[in-house]
Amino acid sequence: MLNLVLKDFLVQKKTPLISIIYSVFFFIVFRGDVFKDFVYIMGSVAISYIYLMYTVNLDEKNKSDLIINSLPVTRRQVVMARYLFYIAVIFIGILIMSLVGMILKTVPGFPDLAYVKPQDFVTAFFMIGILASFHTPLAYKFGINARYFDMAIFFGLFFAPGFLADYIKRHSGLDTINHFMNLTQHSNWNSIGLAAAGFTLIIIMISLAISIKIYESREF
Amino acid sequence: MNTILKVENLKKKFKDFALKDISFSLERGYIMGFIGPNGSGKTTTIKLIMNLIKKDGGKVIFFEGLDSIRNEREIKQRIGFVYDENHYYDDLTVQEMKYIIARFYTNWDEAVFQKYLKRFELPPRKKIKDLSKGMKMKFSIAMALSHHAELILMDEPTSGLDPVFRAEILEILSDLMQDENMGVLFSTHITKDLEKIADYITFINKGEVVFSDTKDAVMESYGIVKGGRELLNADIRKEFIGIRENEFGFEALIRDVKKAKRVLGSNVVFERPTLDDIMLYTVRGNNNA
Repeated sequence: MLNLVLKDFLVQKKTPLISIIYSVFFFIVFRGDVFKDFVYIMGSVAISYIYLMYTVNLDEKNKSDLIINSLPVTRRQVVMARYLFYIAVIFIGILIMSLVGMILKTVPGFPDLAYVKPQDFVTAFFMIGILASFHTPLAYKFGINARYFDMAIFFGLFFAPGFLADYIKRHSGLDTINHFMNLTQHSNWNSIGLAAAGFTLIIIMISLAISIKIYESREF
Repeated sequence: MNTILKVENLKKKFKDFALKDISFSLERGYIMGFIGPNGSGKTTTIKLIMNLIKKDGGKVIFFEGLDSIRNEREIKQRIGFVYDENHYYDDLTVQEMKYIIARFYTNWDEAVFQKYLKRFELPPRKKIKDLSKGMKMKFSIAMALSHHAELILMDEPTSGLDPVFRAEILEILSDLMQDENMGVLFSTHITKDLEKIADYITFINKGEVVFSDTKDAVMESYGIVKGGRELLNADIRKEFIGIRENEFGFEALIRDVKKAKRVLGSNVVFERPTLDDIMLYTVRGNNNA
């Protein structure tokens, strides 16, 4: 299975370079006061998404599923390897952003640039995890066309908390919201981070099960 | 006999096409030509054998007892595949693609791969997308032959290639058969290729097997008969698999040469058919082949 993960990295020869260029671009564009706290998260999400899209794109362009499934691997392994690859990509996204951030801190013009924080990592893991969890089954079903759903997922990730809060406010009153806010304000980041990571992992596992089911019934 | 591939009553239904009870078997040490016109079901059968599409019924047994679904990984370690088009990642070089694929095979033999690279004059640092169609096919063949596969499945490997490339590929297959442990299933609609190298022929048309036999038996049992149109009547026409008529006479394919000789006597001329004749007359039937 690790050979499949390695394959996904090796077929993307240009993506590491593109990711580094993107990360510099992110630091330059989002160095204002409004975005500077989110730059690591946005950059990591963008880099992971580039990897995600290239993988699907390359498979689709070459119809490589035909070759992959002719090799001594099972379809289950193919899907599991793809999820492992995505998890690895989350780390790579944050790693590239951290390294480029560290280098840029030594360069004039980035006086307020902070170091990457654990919260950035957890938030990026949560966002990419959720995005990949929705994207992957759809990509197995619809191929590259799944990218049309990605926009909806992106917007969902940004706007769903607001809608959810509004919904709860209307149906359960402000007390529930206040109770939740109290809970999050009085909890330390470790427990919130752990809860977010746990929630993301559960979503990833559900997504994996759905993807395996879709991929095992696919015809090439 | 040592059966390397046994296909039993394989079925698959699509919206506008169905594969009906496909059965044949291939022994070690032989090449089977899998022939049929475009759209007859050759690629579908190969995909079913490789478990790339799901069968609706039937069985595929490899190496005397390994089931295509249950033992998929073990079987695929022992199979080499060559498809009609390149599906390798074409932005990678020959060397890079080999590095990725070789890791999947426990029996990968780098020396064998290098030997084929040299023989085919494949430039290791060239991107796959920059190779010609013939060179891409040679790369696929090198990949299929470098892990000591016992069964090679080839889907239209010579289609779209010029005669020089085709001859070279056929030569490689002939060389391969020096190894009696190996079997080759070679699908093509260019039947001329098979007349030189195939030991067995399986002919499929409209999703059904027309025959599956040794090439010699096929060539002996079928015949082309030529004669004047005045000899034709309903009973005689019934003996023909396919017929072509013109103002001077007729030419027809028959299944039983001995019987035809008894019925038609010395009024006609008998000739040995080519595989192309057999395919053409069978496909067209009595619609003036």
